[in-house]
Amino acid sequence: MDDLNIKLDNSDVENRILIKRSLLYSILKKSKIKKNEILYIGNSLEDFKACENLQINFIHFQNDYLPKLVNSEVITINSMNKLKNAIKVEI
Amino acid sequence: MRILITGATGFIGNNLMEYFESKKNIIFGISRSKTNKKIKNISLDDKTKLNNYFKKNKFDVVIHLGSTLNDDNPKTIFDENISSLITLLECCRINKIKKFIFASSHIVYGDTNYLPIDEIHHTNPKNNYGIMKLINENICKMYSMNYNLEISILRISSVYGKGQSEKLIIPTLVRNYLLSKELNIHKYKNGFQSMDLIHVDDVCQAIESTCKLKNKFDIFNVATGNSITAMEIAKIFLKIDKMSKIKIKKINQTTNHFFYDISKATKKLKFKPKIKVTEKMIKSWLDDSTISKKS
Repeated sequence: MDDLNIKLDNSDVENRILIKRSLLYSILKKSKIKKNEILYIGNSLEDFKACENLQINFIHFQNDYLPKLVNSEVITINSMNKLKNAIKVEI
Repeated sequence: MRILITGATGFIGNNLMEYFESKKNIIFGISRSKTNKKIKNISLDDKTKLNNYFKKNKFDVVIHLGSTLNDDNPKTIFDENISSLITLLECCRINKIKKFIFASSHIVYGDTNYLPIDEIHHTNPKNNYGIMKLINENICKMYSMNYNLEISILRISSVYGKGQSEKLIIPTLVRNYLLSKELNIHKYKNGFQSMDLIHVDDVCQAIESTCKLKNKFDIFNVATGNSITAMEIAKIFLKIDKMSKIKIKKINQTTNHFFYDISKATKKLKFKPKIKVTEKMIKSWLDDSTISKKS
């Protein structure tokens, strides 16, 4: 997080979401990419919350070692094959 | 330049009067409390008196620092902050003032959505002070757009410096250190609060640069662009005296972290904050204190 100079306690989930939002916002600002041209594939609640807040398309990649994301509106996949199909559907 | 400063006896106002005087400007102040040769007691509600004062002194720049807060009475908050701003802007319009600077606050942002906070971050103030500042920013925008006034809004972060209210973080730590009391630090559910503390001299420098800026309307963050926590400040006291005691009080709620993107001010105002919260700065503050250290 040195590039954004953020020094927050990483053990707190709200801080982690704020950090992720800040990183995403910074990328959007620097790259000047439109939000609707981005698809974010993430595996955590922090990824989802950051994307939700910044209104960025999101696909949840479910890893075995992370808690399940309970949200019926989010596309969840657990393999690269499913990801391919999910992207096709999204397009 | 002939400069009028409202709120001239407040913490920033007092420092700004001295700063501009040292730069050989002709300074005029308005305050509702004290008066002297340079500071007049003129109510910002008294349009006739204020307008005469404008006509007589032909200001180039007006810097509006004055604001009050009486949370108990909404009508008073409105009268003392909003009506008085409109009266002041009217005088600026009538007297064709070249530049109006409004001292707003970082409080207008409300909850942090991302860091560092830039000027296009959403505004959602959570208290009367912030709401008043945001309304006033919009009134300024209206005057700039429709009544041909050059206006700059400065969203000033948490300011520190010698002579400020003892309720704030650094003066509190300085006082407690000198009285050999514990240095009380709050730890929230999401950790120590990240803050962007700016020294009053740097605020003065930003205001001076804004006076010279040619623009129709602009909003700038005035901050350092760096974050610091109360714990980091307390550790500076510990460096100065190993016997200092830090007491961490756990607060069962979350806090709002903030620090600001100052790239716009850096680019357009050539603003570069110079003073950091360092051991040297704290030592100089301690040396100048009227309280002597108890052992």
